[in-house]
Amino acid sequence: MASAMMESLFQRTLDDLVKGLRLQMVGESRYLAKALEEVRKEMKSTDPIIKVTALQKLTYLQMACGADMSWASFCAVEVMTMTRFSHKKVGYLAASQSFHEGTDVLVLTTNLLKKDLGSKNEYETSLAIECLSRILNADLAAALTPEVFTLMASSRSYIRKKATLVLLRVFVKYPDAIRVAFKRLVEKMDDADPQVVCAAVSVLCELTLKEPRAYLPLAPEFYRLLDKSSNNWLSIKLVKIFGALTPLEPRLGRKIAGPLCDLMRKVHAKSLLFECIRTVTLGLRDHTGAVKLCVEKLRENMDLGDPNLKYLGLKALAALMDSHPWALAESKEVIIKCLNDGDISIQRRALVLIMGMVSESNVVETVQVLLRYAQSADASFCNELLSSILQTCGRARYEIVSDFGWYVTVLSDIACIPHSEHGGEVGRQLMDVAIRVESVRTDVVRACCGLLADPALLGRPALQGALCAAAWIVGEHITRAPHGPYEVLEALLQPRTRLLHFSVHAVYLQTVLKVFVSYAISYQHRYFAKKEVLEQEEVVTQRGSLHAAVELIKENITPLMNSVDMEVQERACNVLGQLQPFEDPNDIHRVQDGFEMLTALSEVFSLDLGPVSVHAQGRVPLPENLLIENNLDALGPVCGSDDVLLNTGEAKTSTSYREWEAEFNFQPPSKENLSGVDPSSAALLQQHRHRYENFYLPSDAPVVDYPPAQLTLSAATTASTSHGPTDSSVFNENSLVWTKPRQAKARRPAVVALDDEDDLPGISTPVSKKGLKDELVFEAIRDALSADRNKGHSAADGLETPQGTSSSRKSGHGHRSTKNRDATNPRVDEIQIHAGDGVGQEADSQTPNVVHREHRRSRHHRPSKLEIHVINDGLSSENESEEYLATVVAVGSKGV
Amino acid sequence: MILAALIMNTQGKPRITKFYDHVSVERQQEILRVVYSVLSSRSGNLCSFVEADDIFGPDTKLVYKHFATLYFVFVIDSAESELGILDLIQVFVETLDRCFKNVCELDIVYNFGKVHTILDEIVMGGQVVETSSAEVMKAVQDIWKLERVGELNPANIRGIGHYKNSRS
Repeated sequence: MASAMMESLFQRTLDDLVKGLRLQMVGESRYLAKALEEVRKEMKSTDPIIKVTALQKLTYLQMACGADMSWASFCAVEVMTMTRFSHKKVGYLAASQSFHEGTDVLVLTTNLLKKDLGSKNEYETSLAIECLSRILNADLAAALTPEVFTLMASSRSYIRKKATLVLLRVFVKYPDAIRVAFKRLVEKMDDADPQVVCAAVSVLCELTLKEPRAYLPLAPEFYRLLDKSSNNWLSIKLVKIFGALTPLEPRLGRKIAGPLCDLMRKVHAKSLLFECIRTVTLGLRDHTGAVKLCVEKLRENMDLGDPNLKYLGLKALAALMDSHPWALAESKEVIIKCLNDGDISIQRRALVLIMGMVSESNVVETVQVLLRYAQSADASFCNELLSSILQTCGRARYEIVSDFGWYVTVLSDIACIPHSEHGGEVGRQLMDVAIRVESVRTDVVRACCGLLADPALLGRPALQGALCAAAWIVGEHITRAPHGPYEVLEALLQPRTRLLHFSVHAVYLQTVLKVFVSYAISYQHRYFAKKEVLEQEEVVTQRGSLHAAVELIKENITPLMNSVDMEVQERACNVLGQLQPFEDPNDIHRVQDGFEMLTALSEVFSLDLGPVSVHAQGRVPLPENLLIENNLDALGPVCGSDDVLLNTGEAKTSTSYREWEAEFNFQPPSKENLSGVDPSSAALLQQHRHRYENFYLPSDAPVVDYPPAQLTLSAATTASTSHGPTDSSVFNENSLVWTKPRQAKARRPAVVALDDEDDLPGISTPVSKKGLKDELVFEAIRDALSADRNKGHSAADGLETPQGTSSSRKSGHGHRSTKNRDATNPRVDEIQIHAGDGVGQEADSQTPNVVHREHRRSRHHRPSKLEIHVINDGLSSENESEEYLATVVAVGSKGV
Repeated sequence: MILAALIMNTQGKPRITKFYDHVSVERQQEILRVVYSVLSSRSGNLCSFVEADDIFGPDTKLVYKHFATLYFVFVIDSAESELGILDLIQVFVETLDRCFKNVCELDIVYNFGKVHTILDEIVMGGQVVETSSAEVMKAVQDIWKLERVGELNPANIRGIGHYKNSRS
C-alpha cells in the first residue's frame, strides 16, 4: 500500500514528460527509450491512476516521437472500462489513436461499447461513438448496428448528429446495415436540428460521390433542402451531390440550373460560390447561361489577387477547357499572368490551361511566350515548360506545327536553355524531323551545326542525346552544312568532346569519317578539274588545306586509340586507317589510291537513310524451309517479341551503349557496319539484295517516299526569322480558340508517316476501380431505395429515373472508359534507321510526285489497317484521300 | 472526407496528429516528414492548397494555414470543399483561442488531451460534426467539467492554462 502511494506520488505526469522531452540533453532517442521503459513498468501497476497516466504518456509519445503502442492495446481496453469519465476518456483516446480493424483486442470491446453507447451521460456516449468511427470492423458493426440505430432517434441532437455520421462507417464496413438504417438516414434530412440534417447530408454526399446512380431517386429531397437551406455547409454538400448527379440525368440539370444561378448571384461565401461553379463545370455545361455566369464570377474572383481563388479559378477553367474554349479565351490575360506567379501549383495549373489552348494558329506565339518564361523560371518549372512544349508540338506527328523551319530553331533553343534537361527528347525530335520532313533538312543541319559548335553544351550530360543526334544528322547531310566541312570537323574534334559519353563519342567519330570523306572528295573534284590551269602555289595551299584537315583529325583522334571503350577505340582506328594514304602529300600515288578508296566509301555514305516501321520485320514472309525454333529455346529471353526490330548487322558490343540508348529512348544511327569495309561491299550488297529480295524489307519502306518540298527553303527561313519575341498581347481572341486540326494542309510540308504508327496520345483518364465493398453498398442502397419508392415515398417532381435508364447509362459509361483506355496508349514514334539498299537515289532524283503514306487518325474516321498511300499534291482534302484509297491499295499491293 | 488533421510547428515537430483511417506509426512519421518538407518549402502569400496525390493517393489535397509558429493542416479528398475546410481551420483556431485565451504553441504542447477533445467536437471519423465555434465551446467546457469531477491530481484541478503562471 505504502509503495503504491510512493509510486503514485513520484510518477511523472504527462506534463512532466512533455517538459522533460523539451529540455532533455541526452538526445531524443535515449530520452524516449527511458520514458518507454518507465511507461512499461507503470503499466504493470495495479493502481488505476498510475495506469491511466502511463497510457496517456504513451499516447503522447506515439504521436510526438512515433513510439509503437500496439503492445499496450490490452491496457487501453482496461482503461476504457474504468468508470471515472476522465480515465475512460484517456482509454478511448488511446484506442482511437492506435487501434485498427485488425487489432486483436477489438473482440473484447463489443460489450463495453454497447454499454457506453447506452450510457445516460451523453458525453460518454459521444466518446464511444467517436472511438467507433475510428475502430469499426465488420464484426463490431454487425453487433452494434442496433445501438447506433437507436441513438439516431435519441432525444438529444448532440447524440443524433454523431450517430448519423458514424453510419457512414457502419455502411461501408457492414452493408447489411443499410437495409435497417438507410430509411432512417433519409428521414434525418428532415430533422428539426440543422446540424443533424447537415450530418445526414454529409453522409449521403460521401455515399453519392462513390456511386451516384443509386441516389438519383433522392434528388427531389436534395432539391427541396437546397431550396430552403440557409447553412453554407449544408448547401456546399448539397451542391456537391448535384455535381455528381447532374451528369447522369440531364432533366435534373435543367431543373437545378436556375436555382444554382440565383445562388451564385446572391451568395457571399466564396466556398459555396466555388462549389456552385464546380457543379456547373461538371454537370451543367450545356446551360450556356450558367456557364457564362460562372466565367464572369471566375474572372471577378481571380482578379482579386487571392492566390486561393486563383488556384480554384484555374481548376474550374481547366474543367471548361474542352467544352467551352471561349471561356479560356476570355480569361487569357489572367491565365498568362499566373505563369509568373510565385506558387508552383498555380504555375502548373496555368501551364496546363495554356497548353490546352494551343492550336495551329497560335502555336508560334505560345511557344515563344513559354520559352521566354522558361529562361527566367527555376529549374524544375523550366523543365516542365520545356517538356510540355516538346510534348504538345510533337503530338500526333507534329500535327500543330506547320512551319518546321521555325520548329527546328525552337528545338535548338530548348537545348541551349541553361536548365534544360531534355537533350534526349530534343535529339529524338531533331532526328525525326530531319528524316520525315525533307524540305527543312538544310535548316536542321544548320541548327545541328550550331549545337555542335557550342563548347558549352558539351559539358552538360543531359544534352548528350541532342548532340548525338546532331552529329549524326550533320554526318548524313554534310553537303548541306552552311560553312563547309572544315568547320564541322573542327567542331567535332574540339577538346571538350572528351566530356562526351563513349557511345556519343563513337557517333562523333563516325561523323568525322563521313565529313572527311565528303571534304576530300570535293577537294579532289576541284583539284582535278582545274589541274591544268591552277597555279603552283594555289595547289600547295589547297593541298595544304587537305593536309591541315588530315593533321587536325590525326592530332585529335590518335589519343582515342587507347580509349577504354571498345566502340570508340575501334572507330578511332578506322578513321586513322582511312587517313593513312594522305599522310605524305607528296606521295602522289598513295594519295591517288586514297582518293579511289574514299570515292567508293562516299558512294556508300551517299545512300539515303529513311525511317523504317518498328513492325516492318513482321511483314517479311517466313521462308518455308526455315527452321528457327529448333534448339533455339535458350534464346527466347534474349530475342523477346517479333516486334523488336534489330538493327541490321549492328553488333553493339558495348553494354553501356545499350543502357545509354535505353535511357535516352533514342535510336542510334546504324550505318557504321558499312564503314571501313571493302568498297566493293556496296555492290555486293546490291547483288545480295537482288538475289534474296524477299528477305529484305519491302522496297517501298525506307527511302522512296520522301515527299516533294512543298515549302520552299527561302520561305521557311524567312518565316523563321520573322518571329521576333512576342508578348502576351499576341494572343488575340481568335487565335486562342481551339480549332480542330485540319485534315490536310496546303502549306504544311509533308511529314513522312509510317503505315502502322499509332501514336495519338490522349490524356489518360484514371478509371476508378470500385471495390467489392462499394458494390455491396450500392446494391443495398438500391434495394433500400426501391423499397422506399414502392411505398410511394417520392414521386414528387418526376425527377427519378427508371432503373433501366441508369443501368444503360452505366454500360455506356463503361464502354467509354474502355475506349479511353484504348486511346490512351501513347506510343513513341519509333524510327529505325536502316542501311540504305540502293533504291533510294534514283527515286529521289526523278520523282516530282512522291508517294506519301499518310495515316492520321481523326475523331471522325478510323483508318483501316491497310496501308494508305496518298498521292499528295498538297491540296488533298479528307474526301479526296478517301477517293484515292482504291488506287492507293492497288499501288500498295503492286509495291509488295 | 477529411483524411487527417495535423498540427505541426515550423520546425516540423508534430503537435497534434489525427488520422481518420488507420495509418501505421512508421507511415505516420513519414507522412509528417513529407508534409513538413512540402509546407516549409512554401513561402507565405501562396495558395493554401497543395496537391498531395503522391502522399495520400489520387485527388487528395493538403489544406493548410500558417499561424505564428504552427501549421494547421487538413488532408482532404474531393468530397470536401477547399475553401470550406479553410473556414473550418479558422473555426478550430478560434475555438482554441477562446479556450486557452490567446492560444500559443505551448498551450497545444501541454494540453494534448484537451486539444484532442476540441478537434473531436469539430471533426469525427473524417466528417465535419460542428461548424459553430460557440457550440464546440459549450460541449468542450462540459466535457472538461466532467473530467475534473473527482480528479485527485491537484495539477489537473487547476485546469486550463495553469502552467502559464509557472512558465513566466
